[in-house]
Formats: sequence, structure tokens, C-alpha cells
Amino acid sequence: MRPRTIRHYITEAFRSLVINRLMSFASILTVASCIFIVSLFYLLAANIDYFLQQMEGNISIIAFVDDDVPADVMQNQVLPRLENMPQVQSVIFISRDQALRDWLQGLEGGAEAFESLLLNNPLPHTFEIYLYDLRYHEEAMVILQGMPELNLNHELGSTVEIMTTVRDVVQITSLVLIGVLALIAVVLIMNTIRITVSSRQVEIGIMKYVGATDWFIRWPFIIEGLLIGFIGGMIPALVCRFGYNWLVGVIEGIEWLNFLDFMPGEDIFVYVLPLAVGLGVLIGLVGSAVSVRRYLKV
Amino acid sequence: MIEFVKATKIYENGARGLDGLDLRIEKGEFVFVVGASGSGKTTLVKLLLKEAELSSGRIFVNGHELSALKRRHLPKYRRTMGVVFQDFRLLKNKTVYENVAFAMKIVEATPREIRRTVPQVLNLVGLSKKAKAYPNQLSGGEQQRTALARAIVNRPPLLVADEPTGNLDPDTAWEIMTLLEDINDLGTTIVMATHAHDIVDAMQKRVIQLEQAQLVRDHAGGYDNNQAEELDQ
Repeated sequence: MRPRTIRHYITEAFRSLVINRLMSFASILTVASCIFIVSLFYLLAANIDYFLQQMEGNISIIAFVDDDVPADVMQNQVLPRLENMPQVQSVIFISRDQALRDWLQGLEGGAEAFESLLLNNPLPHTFEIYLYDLRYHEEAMVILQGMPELNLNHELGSTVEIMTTVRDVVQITSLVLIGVLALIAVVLIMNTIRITVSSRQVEIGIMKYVGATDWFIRWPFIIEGLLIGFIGGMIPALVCRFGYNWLVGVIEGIEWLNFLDFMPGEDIFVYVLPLAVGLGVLIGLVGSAVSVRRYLKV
Repeated sequence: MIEFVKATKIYENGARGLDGLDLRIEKGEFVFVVGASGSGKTTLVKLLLKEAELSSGRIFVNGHELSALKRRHLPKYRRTMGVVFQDFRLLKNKTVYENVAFAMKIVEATPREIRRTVPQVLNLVGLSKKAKAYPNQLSGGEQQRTALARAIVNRPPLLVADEPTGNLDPDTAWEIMTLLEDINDLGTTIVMATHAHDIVDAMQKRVIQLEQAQLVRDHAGGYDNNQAEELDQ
């Protein structure tokens, strides 16, 4: 392919985009609207998942240490074993003295009445064990129960079950809904591009009669589809990018919604931007290539 | 240049487009194809453009055997001929200059060749002053002259014209015929399907008359008026 032919394809694509501006605008609008809805839903789903993850992050397995376990065993044997477990993200050790001080500090007034406890502390040493994912809870518990130095708090089981079930339901529902929405978007966009191309059926026929090869006709349409997809993908990506930060700012300013924790914009848009633009470009490209094909048989 | 050997075309609905046509057209000839509607004129043109496929028989054009021509070689074949239609078929979003230049871009002519040749051809068809106009800013005659310029810009050895004067008033039709005659004088073979009795009679060229998909007359001279009247009835 000669450089001047490539230049011809690109010029023709831009030119056609401007000349057929009404159809181009309709196509871009369809692409943008569809991808906007998909992106919006993705933002929502990602934030729900993030919120649940944050909640999970605050849940830990509490393991009390038997009184007769010497301090060096605890430090040099038990703690490293816990930290080396593949399911464990972090372990916090709370000594019995620390636990008592924390407890006493929590008492507003009247703490003096319990000061005698300082001489005879009834609290045990404690490990707070945080997992990478609550889904590992069961297998972690099996390992922990095999460690005779520890007494485990078993009440976590039902909480973990509820949390993981909720997360599973949210993730599966999100995936299915995003998939369905994306599919609808693809059909809608392909249809719009097909109409755009079919409105130029006569033009394609004339080119064929004059002796144009299929690819000579096809390339400008493909580049045009790519441009429509790119612009149509960029618009929702940028709207979501700036709209998201603005909306998060507004919600964070509302006092009674303080408990909500949002995914940082930078983290989420590492995926949303390429997803929106990539989806737009891919659909625009494939849509126009497929649509032109049917009119080339002249 | 062109040879039809027992060429038969039967459409899917059973209608016969051509029935065993044997015909030979030599290089440099000017041939009228005449006949009533449904006589096979359009089928003949479609077969020449390879827009339709033969049911049986063979057609040779510019050294190509059309039945053996693969789809991927079709563009190259079509570049060996210029085509003019009754409805002009210009690219409406391109100017006169761009419509003509488009045919040259397809054959990957250099920009310099395009800049040199297109004005020459526009001058030949008398459209130099309309180079920047769009098709919808032109009269019917000017649109047909643009189509003619596009058809001849790559200097094809063959020009196929399907009712090129059908949408034009008599004076404009004669302008187009004069142009076609000039192009023929430059050595281009012309095959023109037409209904226009007066033009065929006045030009005194070879006339191929079709009736019910068959060749009924092939000789130089005007339209066979008696037979044409019978056909019109």
C-alpha cells in the first residue's frame, strides 16, 4: 500500500465524517450513550465491591494465646507460622498488658475501680489475624485449629458466610448485567453503523463500477468506523472520569453519608478508560467492516 | 475486442435475458444496441460489466474470458472499460474534478498525473469552468459530461454506455453524441445501448437489434424503423 493511498483513505474517512455529519453524529451519540450506560454500571458495581472489600478488611480472626505459652515460643514460633500462612495478609499481636490498657482507656470514669486488675491481669495475649480474602476463612481456620497454643473465637463463621455470599451475589449480578448491557450496546451500535453505511450503498456501487477494489472502498469506511468508535468511547470515558470525582466530592460532603467509602478515581479509571475507548473502537471497526461487506457484491 | 459465443442468460425467475447470442465487435467500432424494453439490451450491458453471470456460452472482452474471471480480478477488468449510465451515477459528495480524479486514484495514478490529466479531460468535455461544482449544481447534460470524463480519464480501450441520452433533452443529447463520436475517433471502442431512434438513424453506425433476447438484425445504417414500430406496439 503506497503512502499516498493511505493518505487518501484517511482523508476520505475524515471527509466523509464531516460530509455525512448527521449520520456520524447519530452514530457517535449511540456509541457514547451505550458505552456511558455500561461504564456507569461498571462504576456502581466496582464501588459496591470495593465497599464490601473495605468491610471485609475490618474483619479479623481473633486467636487467644494459652497462658502457659512462653513469650519466646509465641514470638519465634507461633507468630512466624501465622505470618507464613498463604491466606494471611497481616497479623497484629496484642499483649495482655496492652489489651488491658486499651480496655481501661475505653472506660469513661470508674477505671480506678479496676486498677487492681493491673496486678492480676485476667486477659490473655491475642493475635488479630487478617486474611487476604474472607473466602479463605474456612481453610485458615483448619490450620489455626491445628495449633495447640491458640484458642479461637468461633463466632466469625456466620458473618463471613453472609459477607462472602453478598459479595458473590453482587459480583455475579454485576458481571451478568454488564455483559447483557454490553451486548445490547454492541447490537445497537452495529445497527446504527449499518444504517450509516447503507445510506451510502449507491456510492459504494459507483466505486465498484469504476473499478475500485473491495479494500480501496472498505478502508475509508473502517477508518471512519474507528473514528466514530473512538470519539463515542472517549466522550463517556471523560464524562465518567470527571463526573465521578465531582459526585464523590459531593457525597463525601454530606455528613450522614460519611460511612460510604468510594474507590479512588485513579484506581477505577485505569480500567474504565481503556474499556470504554477500546469497546468503542472495536465495535466501530468491526461494525463498519461487516456492514460494508454486504454492499461490495456488485 | 468483444465476442459473445452462444451467450445465454436465464434469470432466476425463468425470464430469458439473452438467448444464444453470437456477436463480435472489433476494436475501434461504434456499435448501437437497440431494441424494445425487455429485449435484452440491459442484460447485454450487465454481462459486459460482469454485473450478471452467463447461464451458458462464453464472452470475451479485452482478452478476458468473463466466466473464468475471478471476483478478485473484477476491479482490474472493469478498469479496462469506461462506463456511462442513464442516471449518471456521480459521487454526490465530490466535485466534478474529484469525481474524475477518483477514477485515477483507484488505479493509483500519481498526484502529478492526476493534476495534469483531469483538467485536460474536463477541457475535452467542456467542463473546465465547472471543475469545482458538485453534481447537484449541474444540469443533466453537464452531469453526463462529467460521467463521460470519468469514463475516459484512464484512456480505456472500451466505453460502454447504457442509455446515456435517456435523461437529456434533444440538444443536450446531441452534445453527448458528438462527444462520444470524438472519443471514438480517438480509437476507443464504443458500445451504446439506446432507445433513441433519431440518434441511431442520424449517426449511421453499426446497429445490433435485439428482440425477445435474440439478435434479429446486425448491420450498418440507421434504425429499422418498421420493425421498431412493430416492437413498440
